Amino acid sequence: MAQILVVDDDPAIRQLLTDVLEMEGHEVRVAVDGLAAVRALEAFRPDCVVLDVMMPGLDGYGVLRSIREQDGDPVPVIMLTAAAEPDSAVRAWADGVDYYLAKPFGADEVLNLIDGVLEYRLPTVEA
Amino acid sequence: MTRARVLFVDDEPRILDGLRRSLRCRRGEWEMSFATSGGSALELLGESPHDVVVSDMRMPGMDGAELLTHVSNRHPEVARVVLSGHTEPQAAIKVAIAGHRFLTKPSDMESVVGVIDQLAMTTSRTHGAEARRIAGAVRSLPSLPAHVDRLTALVRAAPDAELASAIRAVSRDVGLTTKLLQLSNSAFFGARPRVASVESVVNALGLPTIQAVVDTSQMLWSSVPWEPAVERDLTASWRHAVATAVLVASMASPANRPYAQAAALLQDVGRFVCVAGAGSGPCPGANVMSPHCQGVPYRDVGVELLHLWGLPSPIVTAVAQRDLEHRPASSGLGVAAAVRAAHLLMQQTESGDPSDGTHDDELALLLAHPQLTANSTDWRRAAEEASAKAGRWSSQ
Repeated sequence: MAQILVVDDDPAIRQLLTDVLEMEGHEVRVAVDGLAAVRALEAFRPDCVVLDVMMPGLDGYGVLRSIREQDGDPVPVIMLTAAAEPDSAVRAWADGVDYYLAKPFGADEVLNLIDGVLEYRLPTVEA
Repeated sequence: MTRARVLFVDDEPRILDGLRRSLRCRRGEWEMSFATSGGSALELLGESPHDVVVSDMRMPGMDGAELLTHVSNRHPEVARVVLSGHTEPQAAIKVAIAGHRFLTKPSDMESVVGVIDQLAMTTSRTHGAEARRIAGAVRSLPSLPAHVDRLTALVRAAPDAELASAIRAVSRDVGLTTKLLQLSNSAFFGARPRVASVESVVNALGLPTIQAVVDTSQMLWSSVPWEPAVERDLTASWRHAVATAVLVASMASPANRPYAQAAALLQDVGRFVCVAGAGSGPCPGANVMSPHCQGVPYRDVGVELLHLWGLPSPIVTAVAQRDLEHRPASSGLGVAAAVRAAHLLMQQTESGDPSDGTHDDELALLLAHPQLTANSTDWRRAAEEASAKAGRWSSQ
């Protein structure tokens, strides 16, 4: 079980991610916007952050910047963005995300990335 | 799937009873046996095959380290787990060499079960049992002769010597990096879980522990002469590995970087495992550039060792997949594709011909991924610089 912070101003996405991640046994915390995320990250260090780009006030890039300024081993960040913003991918990579998903995405795509981040896959050597 | 055969060893019958009770729910998956001494454990192992042995450390007569050393020699295919309470640092180092995984007592049953279930599986699809036997015999990996002086100096340094020089020495040595990542993944040695970079491992374990580990593993290898051809081939493979590690550091994303660097450095760890042979010295005349080790692909052997030693799975997966063709996902390269890209590019750089490989299309696709184009880095130039850096290190 891991602690995951979900940051999105859209209540539907927050609910969807919380449901699927809790079903997998993870402990989910949510932040409703960028500032709430930064405040939450001052108090605890999640195993993974799922972060929306477009939010009122402090956007996803701003939250990412404050995450990357933290000391210690970097926290894995999965960024969510609307497909209509092609430049956002370039900016996200330049700013140091680990994974990037364009909306709409399937719950299995998020889970698959999170399984990799959290090391839940057993490795195998193919013939 | 056949049931995993697990042997628990503890001199206190009370503890074995506790394990028996709390693991009753695993009877469907495991065939469990129990022994109250090292001697009777070895008898049981001699009578019937086992997959995993879980042993206490402090026992009268034969202690855990001694038992597991015997197991590594007589039954290398059996995975060795230490389950122990507080121990003296000196005894902990002894068992750090003899065991594969380390659990503290009391441990929650979930992590005991998780570790045993993992070890009941082998990583190689086609050579599972053979790869387990070859990798299982290894207790420590040899260091290249050129590294020995620097490592000896590290051991002789004052306990309050600069950590930075320890990090430098260790992070360029394949065997020690593997051993320290193995130990750092366990609460047993005081490190927190999921320590990925050599720097955080050295900081977490502390210099005295590092010195003791280096000293103990060096002792196993110091009297072993190296065949010149083996040394030359392994040095070349090491140079490729460190150059790839330098390059991939700028290719991988921040959280994936420590894993990618470790995977790049350990990409050919299988060659070191094959040289380590049965734990008794580099096999005379071993051909380390051959793709096989006693009939098993050396990659399978190396990956099985990393799995047995409990290295973080992104590192093990990236080493396992280094020679597979990668189609980069739009969601990101992850550890494995970043290591693959750095490895292919470094291969081209080393051959001196930017278009000689059979993987040109794949490499072009990887280098065109937005993760690698976002910063407008000239990757071919970065590869040349990384290669030059590795060359300077190897002649130091």
